[in-house]
Amino acid sequence: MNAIEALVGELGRLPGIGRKTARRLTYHLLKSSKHDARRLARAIERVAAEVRVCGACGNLSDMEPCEYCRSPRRDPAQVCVVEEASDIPAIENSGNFGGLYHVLGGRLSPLDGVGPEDLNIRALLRRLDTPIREVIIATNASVEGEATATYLQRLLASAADVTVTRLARGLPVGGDLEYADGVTIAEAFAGRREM
Amino acid sequence: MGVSEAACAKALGQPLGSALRTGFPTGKFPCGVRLFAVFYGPVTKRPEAPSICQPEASSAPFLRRLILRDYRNFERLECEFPEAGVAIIGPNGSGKTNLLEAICYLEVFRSFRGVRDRELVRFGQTVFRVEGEVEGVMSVAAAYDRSQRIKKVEVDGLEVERVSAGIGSVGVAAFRLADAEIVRGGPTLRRRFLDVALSVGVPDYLPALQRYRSLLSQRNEALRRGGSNDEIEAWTEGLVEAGGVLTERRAAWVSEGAERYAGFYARISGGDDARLRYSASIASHGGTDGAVGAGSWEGRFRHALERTRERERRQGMTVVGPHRDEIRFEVEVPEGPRDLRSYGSSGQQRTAALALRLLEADRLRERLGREPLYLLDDVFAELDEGRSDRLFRLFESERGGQVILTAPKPGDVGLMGGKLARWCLRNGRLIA
Repeated sequence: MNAIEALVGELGRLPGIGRKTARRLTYHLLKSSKHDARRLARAIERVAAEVRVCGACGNLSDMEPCEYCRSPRRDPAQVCVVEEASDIPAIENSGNFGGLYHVLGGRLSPLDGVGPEDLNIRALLRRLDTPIREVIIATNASVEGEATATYLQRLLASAADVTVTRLARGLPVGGDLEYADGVTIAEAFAGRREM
Repeated sequence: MGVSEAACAKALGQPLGSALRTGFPTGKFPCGVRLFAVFYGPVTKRPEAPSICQPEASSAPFLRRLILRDYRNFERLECEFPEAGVAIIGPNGSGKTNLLEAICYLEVFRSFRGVRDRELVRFGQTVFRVEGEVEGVMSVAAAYDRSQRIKKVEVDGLEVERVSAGIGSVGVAAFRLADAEIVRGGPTLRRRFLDVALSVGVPDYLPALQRYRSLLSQRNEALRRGGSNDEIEAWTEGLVEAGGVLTERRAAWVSEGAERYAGFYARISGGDDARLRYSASIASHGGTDGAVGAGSWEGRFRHALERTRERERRQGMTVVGPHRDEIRFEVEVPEGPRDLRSYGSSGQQRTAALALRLLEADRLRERLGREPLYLLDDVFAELDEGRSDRLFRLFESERGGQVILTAPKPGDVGLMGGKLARWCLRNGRLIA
């Protein structure tokens, strides 16, 4: 296989990238300066060589422990549980959470062969020895995410004296009520607040 | 399915709207049928129209016009229906059910026979198109391209963003030959009947049903894999919540309609005492019967799951819940209630199915605030003369809506048929 086809093949294996897009990206790299292509290659190599799973929280980082676990400015009394490491930047960008994270590495889904033993749950239980007051469960609002939240809530409640909370569900900020689906509106009604 | 206008226009060669507006010869036809004998070929025009075909001015909406192109065995068909309706007589295999299926397609945008869209395209063709004009309400058009797997739906000339947004706008009550299977077939068919009826009529039903189904398959898989009690419990929480909603809505639909159902059954059968009951598997696994809300069904469901835990572990599946519920059709005889599924005659089972569909049509009528369009596909086949006559009379006296019925023999059409225009259907062609 020639070099061009080899790169098309590799790019095409990435999620969300089909054969056509892979080809377009390849030719884009060929047209741009060699410096750009090498920089991309170096970045990929660096990620592969340096990024590891944080032993404490399961986050992906080139530091051990990761930047959140080692930061003295973060509140160790609050831990936010997410499905994937890629959920952390979304929460960080909100600028609203100053606690620590815990990455499960997936969610319960027996149909995909994922049971509790396949998730990073034992490490979470070990962390309960530290002065954690609140565990915030931020799994997705899907059927699987909800079941995972239920599982964790029951487990944590029986294991330690800790407050377990779940992110609220309802209308997106800036969203039109008119365009929201029935289930979301029902959730928003159920979770309404006194003003 | 993603349906973009550009993609569909490409598939169809031109925007659907303009295709519908220009694709057929225009011109006003006071009544009757236009036939295109060959593709884009000469038009077979009916010379004289009997007066019965003249649509009279009225406020009740009715299907005035239907245009089919490459749908099943219809190459090209354009017809104008009389306001009162029509009896379509044709031998087996002439396309009677196909015609009613096409009308129903405009209501649900899928085959009422459960056939895939691509199988509805006429043999050797790639695109079918169905267009209908409901007098005083709207026009609806649907097209499907099997090569691109694109479906496009237009209501009043505007493409709907999602096909589901156009569902139920015509208001069709379909009575089919296969309906008797609801009574005599397996319980899955009876649950599906309720699921469809409630998904259309109750806003929170479909989301609960979808949620219940995914939770159930996940929970069953966890049971099959021998998951821990805690893991099973994680799936139980949502299951009882969604299942409580399903059971409550279904039981309410049946209990609120039971009296009317019994009325319909008595009218068609000539006075038989019939009952419709919702039998919740939750209720038979502990807990009491009686009128209860969704919250209480939820509690009873949880309780029933606890009681059956050992069995579900053994069998590797959830053995109680709305997915195991039943609708029972009974007739009172001197010896007590008799279950029609096991002991009913063909005629009794057919009568129960008709009464059930009449009940569904009543609900539809309430929701629409007007008469729906009644499609009767060969439903008289198993009825004796008395029952056929009484059914006809029921439609005549109480149903103001348009009736389009089919039968293989003119003799099957009976009393009401005498009042309806009769058209013959042969090899995909309508002859008035």
